[in-house]
Amino acid sequence: MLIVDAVLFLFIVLLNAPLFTGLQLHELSGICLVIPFSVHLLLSWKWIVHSTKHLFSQKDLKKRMNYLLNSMLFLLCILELASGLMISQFLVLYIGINTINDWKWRALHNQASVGIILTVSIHIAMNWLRIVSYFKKGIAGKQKKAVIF
Amino acid sequence: MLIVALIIVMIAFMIIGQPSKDRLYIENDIIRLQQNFISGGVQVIGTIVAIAILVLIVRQVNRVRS
Repeated sequence: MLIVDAVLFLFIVLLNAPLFTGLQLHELSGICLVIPFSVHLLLSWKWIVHSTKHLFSQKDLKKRMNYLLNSMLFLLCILELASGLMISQFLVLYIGINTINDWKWRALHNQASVGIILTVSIHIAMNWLRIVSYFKKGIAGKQKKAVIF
Repeated sequence: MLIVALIIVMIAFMIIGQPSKDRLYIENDIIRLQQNFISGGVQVIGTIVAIAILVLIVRQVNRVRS
């Protein structure tokens, strides 16, 4: 889980820096993001199903907020990907589809990326304790292995 | 999940409409976004710093301590 999340974070940071990657790699990494994104969702599938089922009966405001935030993040990621494909200047052209660099889709792409940074930050902050415990478990696991060998 | 994603895209498509040449973005993105490790590095560090600041603020608001 930690590795997938770390890869996902790395992708998000790199995708927010198109000058670092260049447009071609930006588009390619945008498509590749689908893999860690899907794995992240699949690994959290139990939580998604449970939270969706108990959304309205849930009295804890923090858990409701977390669900809302994650839904927002999902929505923004889908919009980001879709708008990116709409204004793509390399990848979609390779398939043989002509795209138009429409400023409206482009604006959606830029605004969604800002929204993603905001929601990802809140997502990390809300799951901070879990992330720290993953790190601690990971380090403890490595130390155990080192003792055995 | 895929169905939800498809619905989101369809709604966005209905609101914004098909990409049109009337709304063409004039600047050349291929030239503008040419790879540059100095400016790109600033973008990467800027993003990480922005995320770190936001995480700190939200954690302060949430009073989450590790």
